[in-house]
Amino acid sequence: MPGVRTLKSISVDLEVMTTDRLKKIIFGLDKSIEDEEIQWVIEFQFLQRDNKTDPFGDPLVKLSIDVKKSNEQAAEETASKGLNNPQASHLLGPGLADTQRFRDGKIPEDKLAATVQRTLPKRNA
Amino acid sequence: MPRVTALVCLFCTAIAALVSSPASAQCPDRSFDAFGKQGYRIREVRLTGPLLRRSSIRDDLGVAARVKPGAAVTSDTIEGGKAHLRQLLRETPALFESPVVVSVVTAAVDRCDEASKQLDVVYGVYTTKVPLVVSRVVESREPQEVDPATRLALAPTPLRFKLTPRSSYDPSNGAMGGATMSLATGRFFDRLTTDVQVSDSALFLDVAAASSRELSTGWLRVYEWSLGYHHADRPTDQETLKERAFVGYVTTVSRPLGSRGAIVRWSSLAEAGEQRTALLPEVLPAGYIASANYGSWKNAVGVDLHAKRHGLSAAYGLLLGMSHGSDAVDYVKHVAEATYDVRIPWQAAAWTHRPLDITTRWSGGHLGGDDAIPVTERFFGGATATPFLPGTGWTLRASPELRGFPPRWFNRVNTNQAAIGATRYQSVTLTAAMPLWQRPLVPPEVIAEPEVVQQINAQLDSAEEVIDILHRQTDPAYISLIERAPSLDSRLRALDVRVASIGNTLSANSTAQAAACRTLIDGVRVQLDPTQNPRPYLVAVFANPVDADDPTLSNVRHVCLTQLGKQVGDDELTKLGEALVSEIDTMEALANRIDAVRAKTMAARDMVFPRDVVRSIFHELNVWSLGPALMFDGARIDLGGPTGESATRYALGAGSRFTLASTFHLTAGYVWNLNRDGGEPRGAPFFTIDLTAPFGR
Repeated sequence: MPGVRTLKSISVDLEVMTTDRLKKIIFGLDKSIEDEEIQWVIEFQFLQRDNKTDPFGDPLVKLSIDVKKSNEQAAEETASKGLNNPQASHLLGPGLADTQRFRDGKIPEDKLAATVQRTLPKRNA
Repeated sequence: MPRVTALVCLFCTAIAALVSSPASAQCPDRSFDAFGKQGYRIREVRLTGPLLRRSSIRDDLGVAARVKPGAAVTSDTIEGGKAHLRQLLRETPALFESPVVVSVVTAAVDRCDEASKQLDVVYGVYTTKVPLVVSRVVESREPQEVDPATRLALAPTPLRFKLTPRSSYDPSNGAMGGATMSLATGRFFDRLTTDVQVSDSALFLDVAAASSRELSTGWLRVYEWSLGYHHADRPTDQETLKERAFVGYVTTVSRPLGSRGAIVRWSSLAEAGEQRTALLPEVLPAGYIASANYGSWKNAVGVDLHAKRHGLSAAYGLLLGMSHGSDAVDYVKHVAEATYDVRIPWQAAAWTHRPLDITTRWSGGHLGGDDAIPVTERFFGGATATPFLPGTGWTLRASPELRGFPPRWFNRVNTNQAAIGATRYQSVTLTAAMPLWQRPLVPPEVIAEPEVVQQINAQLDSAEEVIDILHRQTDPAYISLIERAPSLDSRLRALDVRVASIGNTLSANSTAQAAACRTLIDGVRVQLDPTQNPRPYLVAVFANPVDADDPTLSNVRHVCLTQLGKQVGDDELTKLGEALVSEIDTMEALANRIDAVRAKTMAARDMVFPRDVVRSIFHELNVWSLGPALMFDGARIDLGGPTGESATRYALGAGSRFTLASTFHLTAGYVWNLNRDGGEPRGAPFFTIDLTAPFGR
């Protein structure tokens, strides 16, 4: 079928470093095709270091979260248009708070995953 | 997340695009696995985007992810390659750390051949890490072009130790060799640096320990300090000017200020040492000495303005010198400089990546004093200007620039005089350069995709949103909001305690409601927790919820007060709820007072430079380029003294420049003197080769 474009595979990563330069959040979206089905996955990482001159080592928090069907449209928009203001607020608000709670063992992984996933629908909240 | 640092950063951004090369239309619209099931194999792996050293990345892909010619096409293989590239971007070391970085990796297939069952795998790789602090000043453009890998994080760069050789030739210094070295220390001083250039007749050595810090608030973005040793043997056409001094300086750089995003720089440098030359006393002007121990204090202030294609820079420097004369200050030197540069792109598609660069510079200086002035402080003009602030990276000039003369040879009115230098000068230089042959950093087929440009702009907008949030956290209303957070927290805690205390009296349905209420309260309270470091962005608690579990104040009101409150009919709960609602209203009013326009303006200002850099990466930077350069200079010197002798000279030159991005940079040419005095040189050749790919790790 000449003239037809291939299905696209794309990943978008947003890295935000705290102003003390000791912590970093990575919010990533990955789109792939599996069995002719579009799959969206959020990759979320939290990295921390003791000194600004040290490299960030392995992430303290590393989650791979399957995006719900209901959030796929928001994922598509976020990947192609970037985070909007409500999404950035959520990531730097509840997202950051629950990441630190998860790091400290105060909440389970699925709760953090739910908070991170909520970044997507915040686009239209 | 803390407040913005504003400064800081810049960032970054970048991005990307759902890239599909034009040839991808040759492939049918199916998944990677579908190609695999038909027996397709990989013919070639291609990388697009502003990447340097892409061949090594491609080799690495073959080893790490098995994406290589001949391999079977599978989704796992191609997606594995994409994941590998993604990880590579995250781990690529850069000279600087951007507060916000956006990276995009795409994977597609191209040139599908049904007969041979072969296809190409095409990865688009885009990232932007832009150092805002150092990149909006006049000195930044050339390093960005000749070494984009280091300046724009387009490829790995050594961080701990670097050694960069270089060589040059001119008739004054002769054939020089040297290197710059840098060692990261991470102690009180961030790094130790050495810059040395040596020839038979000249020696330039700067050794320093330096540190810099970035500030998150206020108009000041970065400050840097250094202690070091400066040694220079500067030959003229007669004698050599010798300087040895211990040098310490502090330099500050502002964040973008005003509607134009001006960068203001200030530097204060103190030095003490000796200046010597072998000039005989009888040739020295009155008040000057050939050799002296000296101390000087230099201060300079400058402003840099950059629009999309225009740059304007102005600076002024003042030197107060002491050389054991009769006064506390024996001599005073003033220098000033103004630079304007413009980049003119061509509209024709065939001429993209061949911008015409024009740079003009005016500089002037004056040396005054009555007694014990080291003659080396006078102005010696020529092809290379003497830096006013050696070792600082600030190229404020302290001598006339006249490229038709070898360095420091324009130092007298006629050739019968001794080379004593001038007490006053003015010079104007004009340089125009344009690459005629080049290979763009970003392949033209990528730029031709409108979708790519649209996506990049969208991601830049995204980065701006993040910076907007960071700036809101510096707003006085937000700070008031943070200060009031304990009050809200205490009301939430009281409500939580009450809900817990009535738990035994609730029905099964209400018990579930109470549990949901307490979970929401917990989720909100953690966002108010002052011990969180960094603190979460508090305004998010006022956002509209996206589901029943979303820890927002709106959900707390709905679940705890509207639903649970009605179910249990508890007076105390109602009372606590009313207090909570009152506090929420008060705080929401505070949140609404945050100056969103100010934050947006500041974010937009911070993003001016990143947007410009991204545009430059896509439309102007080249992997290699070769082109001509034309030069015109005019300079006037005044020798001072009772006779007030002066001389004005003009020069015209041509040369060529070859740049292999992030590898080396070669410039060669000749400049003719148009109105030389009889004994003065016809002109001066110049040749420099800078290796921009450092050795190190």
